[in-house]
Amino acid sequence: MRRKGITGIVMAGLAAAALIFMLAPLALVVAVSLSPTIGFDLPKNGLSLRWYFALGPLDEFWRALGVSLRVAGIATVSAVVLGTLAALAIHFGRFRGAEVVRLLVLSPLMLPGIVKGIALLQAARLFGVMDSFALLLIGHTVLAIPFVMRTLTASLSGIDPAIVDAARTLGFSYPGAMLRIVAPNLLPGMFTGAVFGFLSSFDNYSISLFVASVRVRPLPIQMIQYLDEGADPSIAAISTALIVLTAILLLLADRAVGLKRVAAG
Amino acid sequence: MGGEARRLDSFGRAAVSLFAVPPVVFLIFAFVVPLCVVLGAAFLDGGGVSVSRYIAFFAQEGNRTMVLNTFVYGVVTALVCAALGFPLGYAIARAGRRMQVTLIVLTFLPLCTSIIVKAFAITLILKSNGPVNALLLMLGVVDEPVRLIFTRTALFVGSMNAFLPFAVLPVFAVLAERGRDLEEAAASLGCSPAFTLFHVVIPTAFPGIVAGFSIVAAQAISAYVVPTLLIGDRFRVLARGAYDSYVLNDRAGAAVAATILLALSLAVVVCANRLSRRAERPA
Repeated sequence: MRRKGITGIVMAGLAAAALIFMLAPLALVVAVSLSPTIGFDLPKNGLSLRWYFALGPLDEFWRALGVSLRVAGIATVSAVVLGTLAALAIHFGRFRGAEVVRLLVLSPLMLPGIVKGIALLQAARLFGVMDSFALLLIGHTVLAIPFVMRTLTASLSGIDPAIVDAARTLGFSYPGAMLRIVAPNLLPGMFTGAVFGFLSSFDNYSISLFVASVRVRPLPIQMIQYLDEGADPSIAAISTALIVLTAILLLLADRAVGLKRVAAG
Repeated sequence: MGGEARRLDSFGRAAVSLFAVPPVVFLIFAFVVPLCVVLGAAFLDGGGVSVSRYIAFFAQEGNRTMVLNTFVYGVVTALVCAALGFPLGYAIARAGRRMQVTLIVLTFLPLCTSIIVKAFAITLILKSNGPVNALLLMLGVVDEPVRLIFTRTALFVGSMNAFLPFAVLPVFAVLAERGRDLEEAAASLGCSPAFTLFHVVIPTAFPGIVAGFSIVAAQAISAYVVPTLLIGDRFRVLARGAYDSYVLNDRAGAAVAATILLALSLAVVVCANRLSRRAERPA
């Protein structure tokens, strides 16, 4: 269509290089996890699921996975409830300080993870809360709320608050109007927010680093220990599983609202 | 609509406003109070507010190096990511429909992949019998495998890899809606593609480029896993210092390091936003 010239070629080349640079390490991890040898090599003579089977008897891995799934699951549900309440109040409610509430809900996103972790730990010590699981839940819920709030704000921006008044004149009660007219429009946004909230909790290390204990240790912390100890390629198998899980969740989120909308928001 | 219904609506709105109470109460206890506790641990000393801990902190040369390391590491990583993220973000914004969706998903995948997995992947790429060394040997650049891991090269290349996806999507977000018409107008007026790039595309994309820079800088400044796994104690950063203080049970030390880290990341982000706003204002 257009003459792009050398500039166009250089730009396209840089874009392709950036894409390959981002994806190559992930592809390498997948390949290494399928290699039959122990030296973190690329598979040469055929593929093997050996490192996946090696995960079977690895008790501490399964325990860590269980902790991560439970924490991320409960934190995500809590974050969806709290984030939805906040988003609805800001969009439909009329009260002073709505902007302050919005900032408060979004601000955990801007704060470095390590700072959140240290803050939570020091407050917990001060108030005598020593239960690792409870602290993980609290910290990860704080982490996940902004993601829910952000995607919901994007979904809500398409809904005119007057639609509730319109539904009222048609005979709906106020809660009925919210439930029947507004809620169905929010479900895709809630789901996408939940996906990003879940991933942020499931992958979090910066808060867990401070509040995890030897018995209650989420997967990322366990993985850091494996890497410190110089593990075998089982770590590549775990990593591959995480990459696949991420890909599946992203494709589901793409189905729900379209990642393009998330990216453009 | 009768007066009664209207009164009911204002009641409904007031009721919806109350939805804000549970999240606000939760965040005050789970987020605001802990932050105040950290600030207290850093600034309260013997009953009064004091900066004595900061003076003691900066008196040690190791700590000064750590702050400088963190700053340089964050800014350099963010600059390179912003520069590399721009062409890809631009390409995604101007791609055809199907291609665009594919590219967006392919950018989200490394964006959402665990940072630990990405750091581990970099160690695989850079190890002495890894692909980079194989390439260097094949090209005859080196005669025997060079140690890449636990060097500054490893740290910076690895960090750029881990944080690059965050610099791509903000550029896409800005260029998806804007700039296409201007580019076509410039082209039809006979501007060269290079002229259009520097005088139309980059100025339009600038807020997105700066946003990408800010996100990467904030993340790199507070990064713990990537520096720990790729270079360790040869290049100490604040996040690592804060964690070490915590391990040594030095509550005030951890709070001081954490607040400096927070101030550093806020300062870089605020400066970047200033720059972006000044650039947007017409000269």
